[in-house]
Amino acid sequence: MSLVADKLSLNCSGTFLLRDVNISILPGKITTIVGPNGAGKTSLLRCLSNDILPTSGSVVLNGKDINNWDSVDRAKSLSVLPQHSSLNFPFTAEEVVLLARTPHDTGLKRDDEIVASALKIVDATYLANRQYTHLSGGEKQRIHLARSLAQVWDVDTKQKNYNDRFLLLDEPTSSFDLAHQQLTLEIVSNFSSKGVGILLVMHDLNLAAKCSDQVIMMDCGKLVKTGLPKEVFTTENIEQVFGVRAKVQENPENKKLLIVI
Amino acid sequence: MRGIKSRKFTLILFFSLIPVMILATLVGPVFISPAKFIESLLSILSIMDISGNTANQTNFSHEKVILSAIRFPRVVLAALVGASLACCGAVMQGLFRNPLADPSLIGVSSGASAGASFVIVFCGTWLHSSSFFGLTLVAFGASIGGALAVLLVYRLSTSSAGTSVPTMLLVGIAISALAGALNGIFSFIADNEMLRRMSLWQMGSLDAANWFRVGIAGIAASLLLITLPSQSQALNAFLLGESEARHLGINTERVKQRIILLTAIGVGASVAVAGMISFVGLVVPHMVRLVIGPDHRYLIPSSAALGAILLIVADSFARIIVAPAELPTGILTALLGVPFFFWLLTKNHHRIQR
Repeated sequence: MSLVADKLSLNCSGTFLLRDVNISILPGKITTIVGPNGAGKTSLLRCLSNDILPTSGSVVLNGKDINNWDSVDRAKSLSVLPQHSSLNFPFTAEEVVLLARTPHDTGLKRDDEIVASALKIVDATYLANRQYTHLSGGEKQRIHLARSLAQVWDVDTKQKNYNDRFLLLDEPTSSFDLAHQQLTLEIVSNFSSKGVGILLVMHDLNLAAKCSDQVIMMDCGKLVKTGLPKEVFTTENIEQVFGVRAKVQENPENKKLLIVI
Repeated sequence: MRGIKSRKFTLILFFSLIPVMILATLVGPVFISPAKFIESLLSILSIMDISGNTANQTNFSHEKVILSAIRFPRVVLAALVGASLACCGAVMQGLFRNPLADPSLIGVSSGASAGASFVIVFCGTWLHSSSFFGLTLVAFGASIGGALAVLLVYRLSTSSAGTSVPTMLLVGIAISALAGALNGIFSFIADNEMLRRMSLWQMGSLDAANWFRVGIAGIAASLLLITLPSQSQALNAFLLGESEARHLGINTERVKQRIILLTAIGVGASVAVAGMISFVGLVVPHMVRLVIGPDHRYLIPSSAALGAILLIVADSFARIIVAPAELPTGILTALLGVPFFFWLLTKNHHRIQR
């Protein structure tokens, strides 16, 4: 069980957005992609989620090429949170989250339970009956986070195996306040400990260092470094990719990396 | 939960359709009293029962003729056309992810009318031979014209980022202009008889209602009402965005093809039997959404019922407002719909600017 990109290249009218990218996302692990703007992070995520076809190379989900999956079965295993949402119809927050259950046939009662739990863990229970279009940016993003979580929730109560599920989150914390950024990391760690394989695109290196099992540093469509946070986040690598001098220390509180810019 | 409320709302709309239809048959240049209505209805029904016998000539009354030959087909036609247009508006707004999409606003109706004119002018010789074949052919031409217009609007205004409203409206203007030019060419080469038919079509009126037209509109409306509800889950997911819908396991290409085909049939048939009746498809789904939200499982049937009610009411007004003459219904719906559209535009001003 894995989500693997094999020699992905993406050429968009003469420019390579991705060049020979190999990554694998494993069940129960959190993989984070970091890199400057235009590094190809979102392109990679869109290739992995079958939104765009790579010019060459392939994406394999649980041993089967992603193009050969039945769309409903794929949706049961692979959930995607895009950076932006264009929803401008007056659904209630609850109804938006319920859309995540479209590919599943777990029954309305179970779906309602899942929606309620998903709203609860993103701290949005109080928004359930509010109109989505009236919410703030951060609140909307939390609703969509709940939606992408609800899509990989347990299929039935007996089946507790999450090893075939993958969650791709594109900058999930970009419009969150401090508390909700931390909450997102907690949720993500929680899901990965159940066995869900997670891919994050992040700009905040400290958040990435805190939660990731594997960090991928990208620049100009290529992988620069892949490895544990402490192997990737070094002063030299950060300067090479971002052009910023940073000091990397160990946080005495939790033994995680602390990157001071 | 909103589900129960939505179900109630849909049922209420469908049940109020019956009294509205009965009331509408009573009003017009000749007012028919409820007593006469029941009397005539019974006698019409009894003739149907003993159809073997010769029609009872002594029972012949003005009211009965007015009801059976004029009012009944007209009210039923208004209901079917209103329902079809409102359904098409609702699913188009879902497909374009935009509450401003309307068959008449984005050029679909004018595309359909150009298609109809084309058939009237170039297949005119067949039209005289039989009303059945002729009208079917005109409906077919209107559907093709409508389908081409939807396809063009969709291709030009929708990208992976969603539908651009300004582009959509501009493409609509362009298509309307093109359809206008084509209509001009067809009028130029048409003879007197064809011209009369064409201008009747473009005004949008229900006064030519007969049971045959009811049949055509009925087939289209039932096709829409049977097939569209099965797309409602997909359309709900579509509101999130096309790629989000794909991530939810929706076969987006198939959904788009079906919706485009069905709306072209619905609008085409409506244009063929009743001409250009604008704004019903824009206004009705909006009013429904204000009450029960955008869930297509309830939006589609509720829009159908409310669209039927609204067009029956508008058509009744068209009959009595300048009685004994008649205002074409399409003109009335446009007069009422345009202020509503302005209101929507100003309400959404900031969003459209972006």
